[in-house]
Amino acid sequence: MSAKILIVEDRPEIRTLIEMTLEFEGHDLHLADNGGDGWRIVQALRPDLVLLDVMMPGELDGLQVCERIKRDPALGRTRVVLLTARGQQADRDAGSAAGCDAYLVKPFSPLELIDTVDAQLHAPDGARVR
Amino acid sequence: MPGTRLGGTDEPVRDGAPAPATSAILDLMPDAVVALDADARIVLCNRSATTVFGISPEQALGVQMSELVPALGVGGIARLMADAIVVGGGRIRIGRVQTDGLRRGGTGFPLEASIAESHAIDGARWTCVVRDLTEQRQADATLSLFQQAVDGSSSGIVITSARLPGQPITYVNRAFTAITGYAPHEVVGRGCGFLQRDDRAQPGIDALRAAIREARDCTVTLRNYRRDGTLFWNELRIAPVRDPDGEVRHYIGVQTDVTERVQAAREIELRNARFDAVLSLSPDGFVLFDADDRLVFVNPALCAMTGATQHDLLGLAREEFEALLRSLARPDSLAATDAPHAPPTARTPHETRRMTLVRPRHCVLDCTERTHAGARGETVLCFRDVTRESEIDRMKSEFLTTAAHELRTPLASVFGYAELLISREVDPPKRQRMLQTIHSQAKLLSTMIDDLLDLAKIEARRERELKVYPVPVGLLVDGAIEALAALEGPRPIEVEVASREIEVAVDPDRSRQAITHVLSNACRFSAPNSPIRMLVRAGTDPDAGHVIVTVVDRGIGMTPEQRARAFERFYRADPSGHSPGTGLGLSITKEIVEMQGGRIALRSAPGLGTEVDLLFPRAEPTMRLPDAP
Repeated sequence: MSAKILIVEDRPEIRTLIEMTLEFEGHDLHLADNGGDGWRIVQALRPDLVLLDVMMPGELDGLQVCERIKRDPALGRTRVVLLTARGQQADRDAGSAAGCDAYLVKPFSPLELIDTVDAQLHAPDGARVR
Repeated sequence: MPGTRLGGTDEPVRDGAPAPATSAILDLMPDAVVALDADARIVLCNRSATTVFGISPEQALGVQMSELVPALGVGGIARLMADAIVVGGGRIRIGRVQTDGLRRGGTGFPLEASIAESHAIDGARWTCVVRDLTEQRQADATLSLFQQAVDGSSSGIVITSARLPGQPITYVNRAFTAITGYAPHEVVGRGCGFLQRDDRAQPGIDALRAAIREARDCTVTLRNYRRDGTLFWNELRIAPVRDPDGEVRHYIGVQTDVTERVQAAREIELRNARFDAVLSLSPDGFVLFDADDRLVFVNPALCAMTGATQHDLLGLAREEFEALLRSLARPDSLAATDAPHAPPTARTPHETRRMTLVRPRHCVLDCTERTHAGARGETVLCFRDVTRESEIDRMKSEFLTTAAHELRTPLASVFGYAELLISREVDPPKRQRMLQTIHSQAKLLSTMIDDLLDLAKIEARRERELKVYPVPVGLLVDGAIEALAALEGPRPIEVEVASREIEVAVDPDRSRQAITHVLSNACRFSAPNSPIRMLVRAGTDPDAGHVIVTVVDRGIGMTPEQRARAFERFYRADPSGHSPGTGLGLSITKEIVEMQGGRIALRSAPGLGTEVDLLFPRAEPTMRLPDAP
């Protein structure tokens, strides 16, 4: 099953890593290198899933983009997976508060990323996978 | 005493009544006068004899004198006369004896008898004057008791004459000798001043003189000197002794050796002074509450912490003081402990609570309480300013969190690409790109770890490790450019050095590292072909003591916001990863330069480029290379 996936990540080497990880899965991949661009693409593209880096420079960070997606009724089917180097409980709590569907901590395993993405794409609406 | 006969002492006694006038005089005498015949029988007595012996004149006549005074029989009188003195041209002998008499009824009493012997035709005649010594003996006993008391007193007692010039000592007791070492014969007849020797300028002496002038009591403490020259503190009380007319005849001085007491008091005074000094110099704040929970002591450090004066604080009740603290504290900083609201007895003795004051300035205080310090139920509160410690704690934990986060990002590439290469078939060109990324990110990790360790070393402020000596600035510049080439690849740097020989007093390795960091930034944030210049010149007033190294680039520059955060750790002006820095370079540079007594300054504008000044202290002309490298 092909899905529209948006990758929002400021570090090029990580962006490429995610891209390479998911390209074999046959998904339709889109890229953004900051939160502001990411949010504009989300609104236009209405992706099935967004992989969001939390700490990004610029007008919007990952948590803010996540909140906007979750507040927008038109994006009810869009899943959000946060991707961050900050793995402490307070950071996870902040992610939950922003309404993310899953949380991956850097460094992450590409195989685990694939599993997480699959799980999100196949989960029934409203069910969240942690 | 009518009808009695009288015997005179200096005229021969004759039979027959004495002349009435003589009889009347005899009757007025307080002593008993008795005339005895040759057999020592009473032939005549005066009125006092009746009271002394308790016998009437009629009963006395013819009585043997030995019945009244056993020692005065004929034989006793004869023995007495053997030692008598002779007066009246040899006609009269006078003897004297102290012995016991008998009152009628047989009660004994002490008496003194003077006996005059004269000779008549029919033999010796005796006239006795008998004095009852009972009262005198009692007075003597009392006096002796007083004497013993005075002699036995542990206080030195001195009696001086008020009438003789210089008020000489007339008596000292044994304790005086024990205290001063002077025997009575060495001091009787001298004025008391010798006890002070040359140490005359004492307030006590003036007080003593004034008291003597006004003839009143007084107590003073004097520095006195013993016979062997050692000092002792003499608490001297003097009192005038007046005669019945009110005139001062003597002074009695009672002296107590209070050397130990004075020394103990001095010791306490000294300790108090030391404690005061310690407490007033202490950076810790102290308050002391007495048993009634009133503030009785506060040191300057606490005044500074609270912004209150001693005058404001002294006398405050404990609750008022706590209320003052609450008014200065950030409300939530007191929430952790409800102790201030608890009654004093409910407080644990060594409880430490932390509070954050927001007025008069921000500070974090640890307050330790010690209740019932000493036996008087006092409470001591000690406030330690831990603002710096708590700030450092906070910064350290923030730093570690950030550092861990920063290390995870390159690690994510290493980990992720490696896993992809293991789990997938990848075509060779892609595979090569992935390996290159792994390599470059691993290199970045390594650099970051080096920087972190550098920073940790510098943080520890082990300035002993700085090897500071005079170095010509030209050498530093050359070294930095060399290091830059190894780091960033070949890149031309225009160098303008006013004088390569000016010496700076720095640690050359560290300073070279600082210059390299700045040059490296200039390379990264400017286009490969844009010029980078380095200017070296001696500072002018107010930087006359420094040499200024300026690095100028025509790169992307910084916004005011970026400029403000430039020295923050892990702050990267370009986080995209295009300029692979650690975000630690400038903060390390700043630490190095400031640790050596220099300074860093930064000017920048977006699109125009950046200029960084590094100021290094000039070497003193007297500085020389250390003997050993």
